[in-house]
Amino acid sequence: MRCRKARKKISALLDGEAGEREKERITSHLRACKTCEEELKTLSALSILLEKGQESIKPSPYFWNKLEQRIVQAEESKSVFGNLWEKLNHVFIPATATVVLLIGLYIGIQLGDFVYSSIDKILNPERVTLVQQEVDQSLHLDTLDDFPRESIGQIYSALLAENNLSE
Amino acid sequence: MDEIKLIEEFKQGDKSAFRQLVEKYQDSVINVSYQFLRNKEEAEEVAQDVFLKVYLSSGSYQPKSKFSTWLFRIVVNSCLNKLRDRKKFSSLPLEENFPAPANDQPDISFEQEELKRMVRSAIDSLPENQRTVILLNQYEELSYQDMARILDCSVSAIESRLFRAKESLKNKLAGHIKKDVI
Repeated sequence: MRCRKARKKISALLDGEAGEREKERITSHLRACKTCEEELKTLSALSILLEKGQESIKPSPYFWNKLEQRIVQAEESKSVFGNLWEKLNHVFIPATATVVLLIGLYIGIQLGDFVYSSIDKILNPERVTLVQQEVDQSLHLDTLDDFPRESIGQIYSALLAENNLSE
Repeated sequence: MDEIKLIEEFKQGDKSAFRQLVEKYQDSVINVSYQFLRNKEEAEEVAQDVFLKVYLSSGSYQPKSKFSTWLFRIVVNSCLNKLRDRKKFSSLPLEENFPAPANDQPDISFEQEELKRMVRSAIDSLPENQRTVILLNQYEELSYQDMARILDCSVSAIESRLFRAKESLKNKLAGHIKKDVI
């Protein structure tokens, strides 16, 4: 065992933390090394000095009473907050769940509508034209054809056609 | 009564079992807190907080580890947090912030008081991780294994911190070691 390692282990030896094998290795090194033996003496002296320098205090006579009082207060506030939280839970959790469900439904409908119409436009451009013609016929937009150009009727007809195409 | 049995009874709501645990550990908890904080009022305040925390969170205690290990982990963390809070408000060293309580035992000589002050000052000047191990080792006589569990590190890390702490204390208290002991 080298001196540095031995010095590191001296504390363990003094604290009774060294195993049997380790203890043997350290003590055999200490027998052969005067410097480390001196280190052992210094460290045990340091331990005694630290013990001498120790200052201990006693808990106040009302320590338990104060603690008991704090426990009662903590339990009271815990039960007040616990009840409040329980009451809030009865209202908040179902309300939040309903709102989340409704938002989800709305987003789902909008998304489904958008995806369906986009796919439909790409896959069936002819059907789009047919649908547009059906809309024109059902609204009798052909009656507006006789109106002069740039009249309100013509502008309305053009807007409806544009709107149908974009949908 | 056996400690494990006391803890079990306390976990089942027996307040007298909790009181017995407090009575068993209150001196150690206050003294370890005092070694960290050097202030009696603060040490008692921390001890109260620690036991209150133990009472309120007894459910999180796992009987796999020793109760004392769990308790001292709370003590050390509470003390270190208190010291960090204190640092935020003041740059003065511990001694100057909170001088040692007046000596109420007239038979304790001035020399002894001076020695205590020197030792305190040397320990307080250590880095936080070294100071923690030296206090737990010297004043609470905890095993390296327990200290490793409390501080959530390896046993070899504890050995290294102790080695460095003692090297440093040896240098700082060199004159006193020769004078008083050898």
